[in-house]
Amino acid sequence: MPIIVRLDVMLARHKMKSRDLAAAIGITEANLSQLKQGHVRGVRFATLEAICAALDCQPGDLLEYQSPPGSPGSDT
Amino acid sequence: MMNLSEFRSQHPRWSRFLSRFLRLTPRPTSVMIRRRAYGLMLLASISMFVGVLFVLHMLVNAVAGQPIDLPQSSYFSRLLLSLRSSGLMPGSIFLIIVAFTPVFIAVLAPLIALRRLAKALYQGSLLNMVVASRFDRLANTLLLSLLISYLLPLRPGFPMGYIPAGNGFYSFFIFLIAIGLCHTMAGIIREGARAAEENRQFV
Repeated sequence: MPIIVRLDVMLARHKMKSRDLAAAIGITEANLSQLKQGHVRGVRFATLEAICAALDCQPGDLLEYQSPPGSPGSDT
Repeated sequence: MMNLSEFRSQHPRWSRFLSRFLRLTPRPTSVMIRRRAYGLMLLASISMFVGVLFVLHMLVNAVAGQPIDLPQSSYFSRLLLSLRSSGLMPGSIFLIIVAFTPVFIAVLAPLIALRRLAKALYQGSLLNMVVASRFDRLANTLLLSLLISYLLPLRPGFPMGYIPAGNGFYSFFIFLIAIGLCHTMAGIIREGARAAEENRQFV
């Protein structure tokens, strides 16, 4: 998937557990795990806002775009 | 004039007492739907029980050879006449059961489908494919009951068969409308289930 979720990196940086973040932002651990793996169709702005507030970061710190291989703009 | 939140904050005990009768705290929609679904299940179960008892009563009378007051146009009387004219015993249990099978199907099939639909509404979430397929099944059983009733006219006065039994165009069109509505509901719920599934994939 072109959108990479760097949530695990931010969690490690803040030394926070997934369980604590899920409780802080009001979603289940299962949903947070799916978000970390990128197995979701989308993220609501409210959820993104809550994650940024909990981790004191910007949306750009959490999400990264990597163009698919072979497409214009990719390194390969 | 005081509004509701002011009344609740100033008189908490009266508010709790009155909320039982005046529904000041509205019940969640899902609870209301579950209660209605339970009522529907109960109604379908009682109707099935009554219908089966009535048909069994007629069956027992027929097997015992007791005279049954049936109009000449009814399916059962026409079948009995044809059996008698061909020399077969009208009291034969097997033949009478064969004669009664369409009656059972026409009466019980829609009620069973209705009960299963109500059970699905009572148990799980509302917008799912199971509920949609149960609506489709209810429509199909209503259509089957209507076809049986018109191809094999039931006894007028039979409590369940009376409704679809060729008693004028009104009941016929009511049945057609009900069948159409059930199919439409099935389509609507399928779309809703798709939207709900898509929504679940958003975090």
